[in-house]
Amino acid sequence: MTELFGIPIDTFLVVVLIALAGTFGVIAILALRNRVLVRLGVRNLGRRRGRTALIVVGLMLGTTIMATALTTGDTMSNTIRGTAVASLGETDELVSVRGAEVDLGTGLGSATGVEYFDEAVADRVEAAVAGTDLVDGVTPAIVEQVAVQAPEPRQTEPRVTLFAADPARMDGFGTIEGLEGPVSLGDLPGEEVFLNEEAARELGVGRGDRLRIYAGGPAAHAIVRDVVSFEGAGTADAALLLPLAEAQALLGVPDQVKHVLVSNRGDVTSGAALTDEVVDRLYPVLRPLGLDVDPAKRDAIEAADEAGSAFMAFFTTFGTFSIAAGILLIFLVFVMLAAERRGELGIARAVGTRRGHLVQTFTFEGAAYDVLAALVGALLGALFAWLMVLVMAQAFSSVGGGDLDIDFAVSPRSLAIAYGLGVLLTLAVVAFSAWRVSVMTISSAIRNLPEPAVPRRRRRLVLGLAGIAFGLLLVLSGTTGDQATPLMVGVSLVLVSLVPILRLLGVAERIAFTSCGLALVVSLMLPWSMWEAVFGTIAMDFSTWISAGLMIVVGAVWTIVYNADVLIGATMRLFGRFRRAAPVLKMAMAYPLAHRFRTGTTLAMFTLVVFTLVTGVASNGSFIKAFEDTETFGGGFDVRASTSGGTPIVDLETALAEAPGLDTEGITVAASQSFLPIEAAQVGAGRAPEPYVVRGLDAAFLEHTTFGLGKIASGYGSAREVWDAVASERGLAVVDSLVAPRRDQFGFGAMPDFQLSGFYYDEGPFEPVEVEVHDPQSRGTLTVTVIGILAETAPFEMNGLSTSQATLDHAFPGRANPTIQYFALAPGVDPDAQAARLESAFLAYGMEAESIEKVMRDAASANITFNRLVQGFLGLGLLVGVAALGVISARSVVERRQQIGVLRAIGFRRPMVQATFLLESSFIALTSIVVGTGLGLLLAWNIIEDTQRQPSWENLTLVVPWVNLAVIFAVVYAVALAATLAPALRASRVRPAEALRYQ
Amino acid sequence: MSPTEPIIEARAVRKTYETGKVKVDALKGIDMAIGPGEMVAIMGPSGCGKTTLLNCLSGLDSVDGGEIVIEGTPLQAMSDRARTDYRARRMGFVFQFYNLMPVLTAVENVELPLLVSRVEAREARRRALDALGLVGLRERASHVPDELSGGERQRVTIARSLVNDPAIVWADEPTGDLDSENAAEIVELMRRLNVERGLTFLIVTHDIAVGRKTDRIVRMLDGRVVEEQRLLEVHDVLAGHAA
Repeated sequence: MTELFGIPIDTFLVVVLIALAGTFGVIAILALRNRVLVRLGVRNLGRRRGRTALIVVGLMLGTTIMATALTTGDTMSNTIRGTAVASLGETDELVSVRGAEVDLGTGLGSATGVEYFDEAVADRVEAAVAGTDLVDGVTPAIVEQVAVQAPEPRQTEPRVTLFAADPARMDGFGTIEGLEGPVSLGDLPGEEVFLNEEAARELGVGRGDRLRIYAGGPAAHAIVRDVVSFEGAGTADAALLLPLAEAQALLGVPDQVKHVLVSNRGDVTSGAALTDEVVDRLYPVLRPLGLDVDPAKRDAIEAADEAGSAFMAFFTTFGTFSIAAGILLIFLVFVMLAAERRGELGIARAVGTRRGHLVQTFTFEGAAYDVLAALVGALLGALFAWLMVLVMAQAFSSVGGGDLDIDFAVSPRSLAIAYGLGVLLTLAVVAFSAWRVSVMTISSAIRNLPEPAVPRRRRRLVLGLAGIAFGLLLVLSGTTGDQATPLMVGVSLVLVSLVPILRLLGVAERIAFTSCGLALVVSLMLPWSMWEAVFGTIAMDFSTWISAGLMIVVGAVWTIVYNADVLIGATMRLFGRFRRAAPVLKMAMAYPLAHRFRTGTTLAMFTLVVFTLVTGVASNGSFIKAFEDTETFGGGFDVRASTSGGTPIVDLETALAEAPGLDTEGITVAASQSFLPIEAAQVGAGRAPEPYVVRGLDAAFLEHTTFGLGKIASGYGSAREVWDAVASERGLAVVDSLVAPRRDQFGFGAMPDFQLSGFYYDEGPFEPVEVEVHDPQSRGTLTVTVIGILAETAPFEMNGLSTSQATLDHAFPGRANPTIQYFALAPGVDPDAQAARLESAFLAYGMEAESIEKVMRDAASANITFNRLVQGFLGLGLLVGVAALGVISARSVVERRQQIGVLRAIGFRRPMVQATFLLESSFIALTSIVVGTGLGLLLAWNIIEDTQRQPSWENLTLVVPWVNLAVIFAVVYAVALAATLAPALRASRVRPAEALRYQ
Repeated sequence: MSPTEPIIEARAVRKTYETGKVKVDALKGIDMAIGPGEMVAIMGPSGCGKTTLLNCLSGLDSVDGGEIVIEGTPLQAMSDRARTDYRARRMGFVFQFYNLMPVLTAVENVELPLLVSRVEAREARRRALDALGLVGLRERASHVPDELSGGERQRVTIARSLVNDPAIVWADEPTGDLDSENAAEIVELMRRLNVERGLTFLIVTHDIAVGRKTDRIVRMLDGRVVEEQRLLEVHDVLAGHAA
């Protein structure tokens, strides 16, 4: 992983550690100076162990959520690294012809025309690094895709990676482990090959079994000598290994190779650190030969780290609300702890303890809880992450069609950051809470009387006016900078700051809080278009969502808390007529109403999480649903296929006609795409060319496709017009939406290096953009004019610049032959069966075919699993709410011991006392669920409404997964009741005589 | 139960508390009988077992020996649920520190025992307001306890104790937290209710002024009843001391 909250992660770690060391240093100095205060604070830990456990649980949740997000990032990074390592093994650099496709095993389609070169280049490479101690292995090699058939079990694998290297130069590239120990490619006589475990499993063969290998020509026969384990065969999947000379004979390329593999000194990952030095030495030797050196391992590691960062960013963003709820919980825990000890604190103050001493005592106590809680939280976070990545592995496997080996990883760096952030955040909240509770009227505290109201008109006025002024400044900053976040925060701050001003003007508390609360909810829930109508165009990102969400919940909670009597009155009128329930209901509702602070805080916590969960799940679900449309996803085709780069199908129509045993009657359209790795740069943008791909779409594809466009250049009226223009006029192109700039930033994944500029994808006009395309191998150049941008609903497989095949043939003759095929079928033809028939007929081409429906089903299934995972992660935050209810209930039993005694004395039975406590929790949990769901759905609707106005999403509709939400909330409600059950049982067991004995 | 039979009868009642390794015999075989409509004060020094006796007689606490019979029914024979229901229907309680529900208004506090006894909400409210009227606090019905004075709070407690028309009212130091003027008013109120409504009162108190208003004073020492005095005898003793 590379960044956290936009800061390089190592810098972040250093800052956190310095802050942690500074904080611990200050605490240690204070502790040494005031040892009595340390003893006073820390002794409370052992006094009530159950309470201590509850507090530790409460404090650790924020850390848990952070550790989960960070460890998920670590694991995904490590897993992707693992795949790269399995594919590259000890190889750090690949020498190939310029422009060769080196991105192993991603995307659909392969580059063709990648030239072979003389294997003697390996000697030059060796000579270039000789005596440097940088490299411990150089070997000439061939890595190609071939189809393999096992006649006896009648199994066929259309795409197996053929790996061939010089057996005498395999030192430094790891060991090939056979079933009975290390083996060598040199052990293989003619016709014998090694299969790796994956290939052996997929083909269902073992030692001695026969194989047929299709590499473009007639089938070659081979016998499996051994099933081996080897990292570095150019794939993490199925591979066939043989000596270089045998491969050259099989492929008809004597003395030629496709790569020279270079292994740097060091292990599979540390060797990449030497890449720059190795490349510097090789480049002058290779350039004159028309060859290039690709830092494959380093790029793969960087890509893995970027992917890990994207996952981490996703989960930290979605976890923000839960972390905010966790902070509220810490605050609540300590304020309640202080309330419990108010009498003690009052006496301490009366006998001469200074306020600062109280703050210190509490901070020492908090630090003791905190150090423990953050540790448990960080470890628990790692456990949650492990569970989450197991689910993710299942989701991604369904897309890839194979198992994804999850390499679970917990880096000490991530745990240190989560721990440090958890400790610092908690200590800050504890210190603030301690300061808040230290402000007391000593006489009232000693007698445990309510704090007398102190008129603070001046402070209110200053706070109110300062808030309004700062809010207006933020509004100004937002409007001038076209940024939604400062604008919305500014408006919210103005509304919040109006409360003290209204109170000073004599407006009743209820009216002041309700009006400002409602204004917050309504204004922040307004459709974005209305904001833009008032403030002009504004750019949004996830911080807008987070800040608006927090303020919406504040507004809603104010409104509820200051009008709870109305709610309670209505409930009493509704259920109060049931005489058995009346006294219990009355008590259960009176307490939350009387304790506005703790009720409001708990409501805010619960509502915040429910709100996020519903918003996230409903909007995600709606977007997922939008992809479940074969017309949108398949671009008007029913089956898609690809062949290996070595065996393109240049003339598909003829190939279909000549395909053995294939009935083509059911195929109404057969279309092709070629795929060419290039370097691209926007003309006039002043940026260096970046690696990208260009696709050549044949006439049939362009004529038939229905892939939608999110943006159409001026002068064109529809997507059809654009596709027709691309077909009829050379040099026109369409590009995918990932390279288009956006005003609103809601993406997490790493974007391609090649980017366009000068317009926004999500708003405003789009004039045609010229892009210069350079083929590094042929050194040819082509300028294409981009006249359309694909819709965001188009599949990943369409990424790249898409122009006509005629354009590519003209610009780069012979370089781009079709390796991707699309088929439209007649009504009634089963696409899955047709895909299987195509694979069989084009086995010699290594064709892999799938129905669009299957691809979409797999993708949808993965998306749904991932969405459920997000639900689960967000649901973690609900534990905060549950813990809060547990804390409040436990505290209430202590606080109300005498009152429970009175209730029992006047006739409350034990079950009635239990029911009172359970109903109190129910009031908070159910109110939060209802309000959070309502607000969440409203915001999700708002998001969908706004997105419908964006390119690509005209048909988007709000889909609410009611069943999922109902199950989640039912479970959470049950757990919330369970958390209250123990205190409720304890309350019901209070013996009235003992409870009433003391004041 | 005939009118002459005691409404409360304690026979050889014993109660022991265990605090860690220490055993405290709080009640050491108490025998006592209280007639219907009688107002009895239990007095004695701190720790003599007064409150423990009240708790045991009212069923708030269990006994370790002996028998307690209330309105002809042995308390030990009742389940916790039956005792709770009995308290709700037939008993009222007044405590030294009022013990009102701080989150409920005066009228809501008073109506709570009625709601527990499943009286219909509107009827409960009417009777609660009547009870508050009886103690002179009808106009303070919508105030929460924090907004009332000590005397007012204790009157609310008394209203709560009699709202369900109980047979017995148990009062534990009802004037302990009040000044002398408020204390006198509260005792007068209880006496008036005793006389006018025939309520049986058992009052635990340190205050001789409270004792003087009752029919009988039971004196306790070290968990035993050491003396019982009719009101007249008490007056004579007091007069003798004054002389």
